[in-house]
Amino acid sequence: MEGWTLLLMIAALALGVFALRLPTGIALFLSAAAGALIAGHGFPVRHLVEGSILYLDPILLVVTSLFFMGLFERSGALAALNRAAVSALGSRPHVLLALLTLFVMFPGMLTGLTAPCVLTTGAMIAPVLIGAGLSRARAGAFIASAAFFGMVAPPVNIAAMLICSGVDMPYVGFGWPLLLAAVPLALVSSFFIAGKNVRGLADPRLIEQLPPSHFARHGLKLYLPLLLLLGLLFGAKSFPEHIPYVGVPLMFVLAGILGLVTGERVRLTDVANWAIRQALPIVGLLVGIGVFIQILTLTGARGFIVVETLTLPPALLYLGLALLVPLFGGVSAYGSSSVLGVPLLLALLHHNDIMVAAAISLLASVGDFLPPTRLAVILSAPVVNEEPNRILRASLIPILLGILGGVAMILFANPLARLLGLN
Amino acid sequence: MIPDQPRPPDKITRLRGACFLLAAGLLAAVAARQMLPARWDEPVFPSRSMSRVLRISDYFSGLKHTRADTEIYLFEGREPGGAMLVMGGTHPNEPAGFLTAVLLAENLSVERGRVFVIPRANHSGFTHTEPGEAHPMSFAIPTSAGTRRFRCGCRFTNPLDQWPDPEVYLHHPSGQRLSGPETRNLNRSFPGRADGNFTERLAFAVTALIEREQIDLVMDLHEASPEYPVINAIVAHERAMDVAALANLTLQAEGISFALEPSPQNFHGLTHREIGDATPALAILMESANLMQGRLRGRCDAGLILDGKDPWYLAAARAGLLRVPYDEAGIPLDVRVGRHLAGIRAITDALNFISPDRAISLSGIPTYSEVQQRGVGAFLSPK
Amino acid sequence: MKTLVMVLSLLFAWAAVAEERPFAEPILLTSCGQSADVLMMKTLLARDSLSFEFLPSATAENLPNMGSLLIVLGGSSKGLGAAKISEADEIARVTALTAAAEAAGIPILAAHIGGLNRRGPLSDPFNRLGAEQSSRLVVVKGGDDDGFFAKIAAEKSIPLDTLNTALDVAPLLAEIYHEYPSAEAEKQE
Ligand SMILES: [Zn+2]
Repeated sequence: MEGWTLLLMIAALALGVFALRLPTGIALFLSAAAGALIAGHGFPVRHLVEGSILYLDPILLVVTSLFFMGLFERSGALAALNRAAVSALGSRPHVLLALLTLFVMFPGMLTGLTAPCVLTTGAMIAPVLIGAGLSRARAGAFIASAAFFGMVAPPVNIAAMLICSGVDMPYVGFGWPLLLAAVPLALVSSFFIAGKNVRGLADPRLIEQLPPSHFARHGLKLYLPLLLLLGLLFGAKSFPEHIPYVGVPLMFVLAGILGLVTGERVRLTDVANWAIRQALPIVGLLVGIGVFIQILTLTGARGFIVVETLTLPPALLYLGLALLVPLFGGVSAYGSSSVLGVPLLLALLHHNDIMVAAAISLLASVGDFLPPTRLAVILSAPVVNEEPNRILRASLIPILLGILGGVAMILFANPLARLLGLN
Repeated sequence: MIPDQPRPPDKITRLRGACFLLAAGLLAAVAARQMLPARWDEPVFPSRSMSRVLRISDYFSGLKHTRADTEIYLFEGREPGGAMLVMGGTHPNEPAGFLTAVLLAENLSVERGRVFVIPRANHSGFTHTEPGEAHPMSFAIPTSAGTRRFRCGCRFTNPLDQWPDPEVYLHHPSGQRLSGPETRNLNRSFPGRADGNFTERLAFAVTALIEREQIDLVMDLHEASPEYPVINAIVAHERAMDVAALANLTLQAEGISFALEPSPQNFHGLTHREIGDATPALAILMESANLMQGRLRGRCDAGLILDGKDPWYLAAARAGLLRVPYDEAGIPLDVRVGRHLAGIRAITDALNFISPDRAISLSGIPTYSEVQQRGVGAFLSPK
Repeated sequence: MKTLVMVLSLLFAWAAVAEERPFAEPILLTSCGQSADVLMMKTLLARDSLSFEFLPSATAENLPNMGSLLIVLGGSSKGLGAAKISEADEIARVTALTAAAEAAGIPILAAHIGGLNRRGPLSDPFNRLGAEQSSRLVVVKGGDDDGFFAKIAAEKSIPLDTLNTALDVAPLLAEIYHEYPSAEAEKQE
């Protein structure tokens, strides 16, 4: 029964997205409602609504980070920052490309999400990438890839933390394994995606293609919102006794509001409107995912997925890991790591637990590229003005590297752990 | 590049938007109406030998008029002796822990010593359910005086009481790092602090109670999923190990198998670790197996709480994935409550043998087999 | 309470039998896997007048003057990352200890008293090691439903006793130990 429910939900989703061309969020909601109905739960209003707030915090993060970015761009700070970066490092394009990758990864390292990477730091460097000659699809893939590895990179990897919570393990000792899982693969992916366009970063014409800078008029004052944001982020983490934790969304809003007075004149309502419009498809998607997961759980389709994965014959278990964890991650990376990751870790107890949890978090996060949601791709599409599917096609390298890296980390968990001094 | 504003919406778009808003508002209103009963405490009918109802805010006034404030049932024996605290509902999504504490409060009589019973330790957690988990909001127990409903809440404090969560939860005072939502997990917040967050203040109040009332023995009642390694277990602080080991031998002789586990030295915030370290009390935690908490369960409704039967768990058991024996009989609530009750009796008996001067003598607690024969409902009749 | 009285009377009954010093004293009580079951065994022994030394992580240095080695099998499982003992270190310790005991002619009794709870990937490496090195094996029912210990016992020709509960270990130990003269008795001869 549960298997049929799952099949029906997937079929309804495909119908909604491909045949009826509904927005993915709405298709997810409708297929969830259909699944509940067919499983005999009628129209479970409470579950539909409860699921819709599953990702409330990421939703707030998406909206507010867009608000911050909107103000940061319109105040003129973004153009100034881009020109400064290119003119400082344009002569060393490989270093610049590596730094751009780490720069995009940075918000993900602090929040464990791809959204703030793509929408803030990713959006900041998009003009540089496109100016250097990357196609819009490749620029989108570059940003999505760095955001994906940023989500995996330490110190904050929420997928790994969720696995830890599920098995009562402190989130300790993950720094090196996650750094190993994220940074080398991120750099390799970036260089593959950029290809020969790396040299475009050194092209003197690049700087002329970038939007004009207002740095001369406003000076360093332009960067104050960014400094405030970093101050709030690190302040609350470093001195929790003195600086209260208000949540990253509020930090984005506060820093964004500061942008009203640090550069070009901007109307608050314009930016707020713009941010909501940009966020709406993503918000709809996140709401739809939440509802979909709630109904998967309610109908038992979630249990079906988990038990079928876990009872794969041992030879197929690693193949299942390599495919099913990212595929479920396509619905939700957090859902996959918590729902599949926890029992998988318990089934793989003869491997080093920290390495396995880190590896599963990497595999689940690959799901951010994959359908039905393709979150990282969907997010970067408006940033580079390109069709999501083209970006997805350009993202093959990070997807493959993520999967291979994750499986390798599980297969060699024990020797790697000894190498890193875990145990 | 950030694209510019799309053109303003036309009439049809506006109309469609209004319809969507209306539909969403309607759904939210209906759901809100359905969720409202989670705010109301189910009645508890303490046994006649109860001496007083206290509140946790009596021990830390900072919790007055908050959703953390919760009832404590005090039973005092005629003879002086030791003192014991039984906590249920530390995790409100673990029905056997909650129901055992209720059943205890409704049947207990104490001849010697004092017993404090808190059925809803994280009262805030009882007022909501966890999004994504699709738990039922309540379950019904038939009794001779009609059906009684009990809530199934959330493992975490209600975000209306404590929000937003940090990305990383730093436990006080150890500095241990856990995932953000664990900051709302009462059983990761001990020993607590008076100026901490909502959940830490609640943990602080419980610790204050233990100190002020000179509690000798703390029993925290939990459940966990059948695939979890520590299950059907008695977890004891090192000072409580002698009592727990003796109790476990007794339980094994009665045919009730528990795994005896030491409280990990370096995993912080849990009752058995922090209460054991911070107070003179012996701290013990018990776990039974609850399918509702697992990730392998199929269809999810209140029946799963009551009978503990699930085809996917059966498949998993056959594939050797579970840590508890599991077959077609399931793991019904009667079994889980019966195990907790048997554990409480065995542990108090062991305490009485090891520290006779701080003995606590209890009666009125049904035995494991009585609960199996007559069902928990037989012991939950309003009196 | 009734059960506890029964438990205690059983223990004291064993104590009375053990008065005759049927087995080499003192006993070195240790764990293989660091599960808390060794504390249940300690409780069983502590109610007795037999002398024993309880060292959960005993090494060969603790062996001199011991009449026998009692190893309680089973790994600890609470909080995967938490109560971390290194499996390799624990196995090395027990391997060295049992080798030294064998060299010194000290008989080794291995006991698995935690039932099904002490089986599975966290426990079985320790279960196997301790069982294979023992000169006699005691298993409480539920721990051997799949014949894990029976197979080891058959392969290595180790006498195996299967018991209903850990409490039955008490009378059984009295019986087993009766077959050997105690270390002190030997000295007297
Ligand atoms: Zn619990």
